[in-house]
Amino acid sequence: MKKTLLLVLVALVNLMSCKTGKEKQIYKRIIFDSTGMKVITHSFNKKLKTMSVLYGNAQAYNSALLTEGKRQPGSAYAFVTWEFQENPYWHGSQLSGKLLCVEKLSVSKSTEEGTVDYVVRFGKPKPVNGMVLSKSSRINYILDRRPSIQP
Amino acid sequence: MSIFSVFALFVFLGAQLTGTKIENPPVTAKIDAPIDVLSVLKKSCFNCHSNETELSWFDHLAPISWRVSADVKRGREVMNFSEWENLSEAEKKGKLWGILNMIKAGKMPLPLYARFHPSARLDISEIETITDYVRSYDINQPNLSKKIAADSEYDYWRNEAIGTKFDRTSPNGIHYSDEFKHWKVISMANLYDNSMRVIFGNDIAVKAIEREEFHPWPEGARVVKAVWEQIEDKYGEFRPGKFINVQLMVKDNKYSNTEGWGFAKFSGVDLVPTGKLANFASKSCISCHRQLAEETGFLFNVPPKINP
Repeated sequence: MKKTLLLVLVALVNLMSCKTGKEKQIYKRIIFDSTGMKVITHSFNKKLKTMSVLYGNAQAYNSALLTEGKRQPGSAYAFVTWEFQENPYWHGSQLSGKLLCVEKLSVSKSTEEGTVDYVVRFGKPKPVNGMVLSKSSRINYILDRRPSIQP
Repeated sequence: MSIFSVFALFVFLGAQLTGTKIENPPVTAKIDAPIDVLSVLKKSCFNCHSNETELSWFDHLAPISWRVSADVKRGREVMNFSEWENLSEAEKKGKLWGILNMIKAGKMPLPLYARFHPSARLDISEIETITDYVRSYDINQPNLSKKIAADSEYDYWRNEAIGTKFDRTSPNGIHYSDEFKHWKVISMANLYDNSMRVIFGNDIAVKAIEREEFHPWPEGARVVKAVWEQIEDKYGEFRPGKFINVQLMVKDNKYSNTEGWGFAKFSGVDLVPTGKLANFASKSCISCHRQLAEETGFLFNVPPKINP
């Protein structure tokens, strides 16, 4: 009886691993849903092989553009990072690929200065220049960016 | 000699009378490149892409001459090394990267041409010569001067140009619109040390990518690529500097000469349209898109397939 149970268990585990194996074969083209937020700017890191976009709602975009980066209550941001890879169709070019990390920031209305709430929604932020940044340094690293010139 | 052979001989001789002669117009602005680079270009490219065409005897025989004549005409239209120095620096950079990619992908010299002209093929060391030249052509100006230029352009844009509704139209009728700023980002791309790009897609384009509807793309799909210089920041990362241009691809079957895609490019903060004639893209853009990105319906920056 014990032997039979063991066999059933082994079979179940095998079945599950087969399913996992099949799931690993699913390759898709995925486009990040920024839920209506606008691109403020973007950046890339050659050493980490990453590309990032800083998205913001209208309040966040305007405060980045018009108030020299002073954080306005009501501003919401998403800092999204992808791994990059060689572009298969164009030698000398790299293209964003796998999604690595999604960080969300919002400036609460509780204080005049605006307190920044920070949360990691997906993945794990990579160290910058080999340094793991503290929460406040990470917030500054993300928000200390002016909008890219977009005529 | 059979009647058939005599007939074939007459047809062949008659065809020679219809042969099209390839003229060599004056060389007005020949490419100025190092001698080793010139030597490779002359050997492998000049016969179709310059006004110094030197054909073999059999290239002059019809019907081969018909094909050769068409290839030379098309080659000179797309890129002519005898008029190279008339191009802007940005155009030269773009074409150099095009040359390198066409060579690396084995699309140039044209395979049929290379079969009958084996000496035109590039060997590994010749490909390296071109690669080094193209990459060195891109050597950046110092980061500081790029930053100063970007700061100045940013101030101009933020204080004066922002909010300007540019009424700009490409010669093929494609209008500029900044509605792409509210579209989804489909991907980002870098070009070596030269530029960094964000590529946006409208809802039709986003759905087409997710469903792999590339052959053909659905009508109404629009893809916009915004391009900036690269500036290194204090973290050793790269951020957008001066705005270079914005490039549009609009899926509309009326652009049948360019695989159903209408191309447009608007450069600088004043968004100056590229091209003089409505068919400008059939003589430039589509060549690389058609040869190198057929798999994704002629787009280079479709996000790759990922195992999530």
